[in-house]
Amino acid sequence: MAATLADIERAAILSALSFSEEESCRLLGEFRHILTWLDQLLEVDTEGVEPLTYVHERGIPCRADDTRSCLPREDALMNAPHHTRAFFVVPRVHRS
Amino acid sequence: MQGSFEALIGLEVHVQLRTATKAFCSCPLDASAPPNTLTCPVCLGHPGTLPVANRVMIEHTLRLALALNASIQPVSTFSRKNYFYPDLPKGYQITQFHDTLCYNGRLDIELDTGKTRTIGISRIHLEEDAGKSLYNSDGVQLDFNRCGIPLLELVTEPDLTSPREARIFLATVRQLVTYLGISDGEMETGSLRCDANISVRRPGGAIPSTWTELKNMNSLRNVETAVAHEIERQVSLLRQDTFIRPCTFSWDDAANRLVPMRSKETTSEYRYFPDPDLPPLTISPELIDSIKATQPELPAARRERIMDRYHLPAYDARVLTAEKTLADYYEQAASHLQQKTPEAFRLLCRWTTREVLHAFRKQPADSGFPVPPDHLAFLVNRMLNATLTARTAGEVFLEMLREHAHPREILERKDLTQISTPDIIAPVVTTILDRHPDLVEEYISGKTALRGFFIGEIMKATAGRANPSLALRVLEAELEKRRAGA
Repeated sequence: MAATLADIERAAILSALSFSEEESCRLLGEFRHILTWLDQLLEVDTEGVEPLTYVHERGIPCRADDTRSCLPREDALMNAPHHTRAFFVVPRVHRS
Repeated sequence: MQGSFEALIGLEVHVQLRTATKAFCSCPLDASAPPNTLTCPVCLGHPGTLPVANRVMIEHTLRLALALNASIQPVSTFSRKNYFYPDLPKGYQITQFHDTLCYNGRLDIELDTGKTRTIGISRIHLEEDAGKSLYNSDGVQLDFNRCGIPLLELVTEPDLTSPREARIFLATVRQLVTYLGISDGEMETGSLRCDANISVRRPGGAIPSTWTELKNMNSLRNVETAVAHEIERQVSLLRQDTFIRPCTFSWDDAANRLVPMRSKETTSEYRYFPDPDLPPLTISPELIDSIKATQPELPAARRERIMDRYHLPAYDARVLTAEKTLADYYEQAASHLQQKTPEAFRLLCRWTTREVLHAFRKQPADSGFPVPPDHLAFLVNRMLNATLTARTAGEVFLEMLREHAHPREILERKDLTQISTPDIIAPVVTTILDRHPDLVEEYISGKTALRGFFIGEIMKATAGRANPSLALRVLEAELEKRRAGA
């Protein structure tokens, strides 16, 4: 099924992004291109093949509930584009 | 219920698990830590890091599952719930979606009528908490200390039928998780959170297809009030034959109303898929056995045992066991009683369910309650051997709450010890009888009920410190003397 501009709009809403009409048209082209490629994968006959979710059958490794030291706050904040001395700072992403 | 309608209520309860570290990394949990001081590359979602599951959070979940008679999946999976929001540094939340750890449980709740109802639990799963967002005029400040804290989510069937039942269910869950020791269960601090899904139908009608969701009800009382508001709203819409739209509401406690948050029609698409970083979670029968073997005593069993062991009526046992801390307090105090008699246990119970419970409401036991159980036992012992009146004990107890001091010290310092020497009481009795010669005469001529009046006067004169039985003995001896002299 070919993607439509409505799909682009929905993807934009889910990603909290907004696009101009021109951008949406360009993205629609790219979307369709990617989906054509995915359609090729659907040509493979997977009838009766169990999905492979994990590449090995070992169960989850668990750890003891012991604390370890944390990052110093300066280090935790270091790579953030915007921060105060104590907090990461981001713009508001939706109307509260 | 509202006229000819009935409500279907389902709850989603989030329980913050009592662990030392986060769900998938070794950062400690501490709500009072300064912002962003409890983070590491894993919970900040740095590239190249891998989550490792905390064994204790899994054990805690199994404990609750066993207590709720839920089925435990031998193999369950963790999934990624993808959504874009700044309090979620990885861009997804690790949760369980397709194969949850536990499903199909049930919890009995006791209604106000004393009847029991069984509420179905459709699933219990594990997930991690998000960070905290603080909004101000410049934007959003983010604190990731909370990010990655283990949460257990419990989802009920739509079996609850009234706001009151919803509240009782939540209170019962709260009691259970505190008894199991897997959470502190405090709604005020967010350790226990609850969302409600609500629908209304005509009795016996089909299960409605539209539901509304209520959020931000951070107390038992709010849950009851908010659910009642929403049922009323839906019923009034249905009465006008108006269609109910799926919607999410936030409870505004200050304004006492529901505020619409978002329409569910534009709800997010979370694109759940199994987290490739976390292999399937396998639960061995040995692990389940070891948890069964170390399961603590649950509320119903404790109530029965307390009734039996301390000769208490069901009502008192229920009040004592409603909160684990109160039941613990009572049993510790009971171990310090000198007489292990039904009378002693009942007197201690009376003090625990009145004075102590009242004081607990202001200052809970775990935040340094000023009266240790053995100090209360000291007071009760003194009342039992008649060296302290209940009235004086009450005064001393108030001092104990204020001063954190041992009752012996308060009694000595304030000269509140009971007067148990006849030499001190006798002159008091003489003075009182001299003051009321007419009443003495009436007494002698047979109106023995006046004894109560004289005792009252003696107590008044000694500020309640006279040993009542001694006072009565001295009084009767003195009256007898006057009768002989008359």
